[in-house]
Amino acid sequence: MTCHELTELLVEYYDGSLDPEIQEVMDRHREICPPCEGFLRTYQATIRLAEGAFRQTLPDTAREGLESQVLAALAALETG
Amino acid sequence: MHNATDLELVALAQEGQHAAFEVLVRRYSSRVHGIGLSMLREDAAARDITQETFLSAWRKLHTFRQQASFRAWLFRIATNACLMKLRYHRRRPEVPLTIRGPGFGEDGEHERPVVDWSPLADELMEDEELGRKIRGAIDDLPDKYRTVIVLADYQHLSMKEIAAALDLTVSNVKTRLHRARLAVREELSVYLAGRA
Repeated sequence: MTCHELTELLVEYYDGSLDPEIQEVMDRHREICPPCEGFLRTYQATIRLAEGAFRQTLPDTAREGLESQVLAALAALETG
Repeated sequence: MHNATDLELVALAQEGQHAAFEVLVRRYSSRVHGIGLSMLREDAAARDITQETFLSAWRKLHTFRQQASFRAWLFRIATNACLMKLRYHRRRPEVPLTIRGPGFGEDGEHERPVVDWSPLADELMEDEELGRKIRGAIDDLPDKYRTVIVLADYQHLSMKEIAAALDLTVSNVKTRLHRARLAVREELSVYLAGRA
């Protein structure tokens, strides 16, 4: 497997959908290829950062307010 | 009723039981709001999208087929509503996605050394400036790439669910997600090189 081929399989590599044999080939490749190891680590860090970028949990009161707003709109729709 | 599955609740709602649909509203309003917020970046707009999504889902509920994922179906309504809003308010034409790297030689090996900035990224995980940088990089992506990265890396939908939500093939979703991540990674590489 070349570095280029490995890079094309990263989505499957990180969502765990790869054939175990291919996964093993990739794991072995990164062990002996510093550029790929660096690339994979930064690719994975990008996923972590993207995940954290928008993390914003709605406080309970805001969530309840939002639910009430939606339910009131649905009730209004039903009563015409 | 709170322990019922999505599909059981949908079946009851399709029979006219409003209480079942209310459970679905309570189960998913935060997630739908999260999609709106990550795509539109304004709480008020995200609230509007949440309301619009559930009203639309209620009206179209009779068209929902039980073999599908309700969550993916609902998120599809939400993402389409967000995309329509974005197109309506767009002030400048969308710039096509350009990705400069990684470059490979004819032998398929990396052309240049790769700097591993992941330890610095981990160190700065809570850094506000880095947070702004990554949100900016995601915001700058064309809609079709931003939607996929938000649904995959923030909302944690499976490739199959995203494909169903966006009416794409799984293969298309993977390609878009990979390109989106490469583009964001490039922006981060440049930014973190300046902070190293």
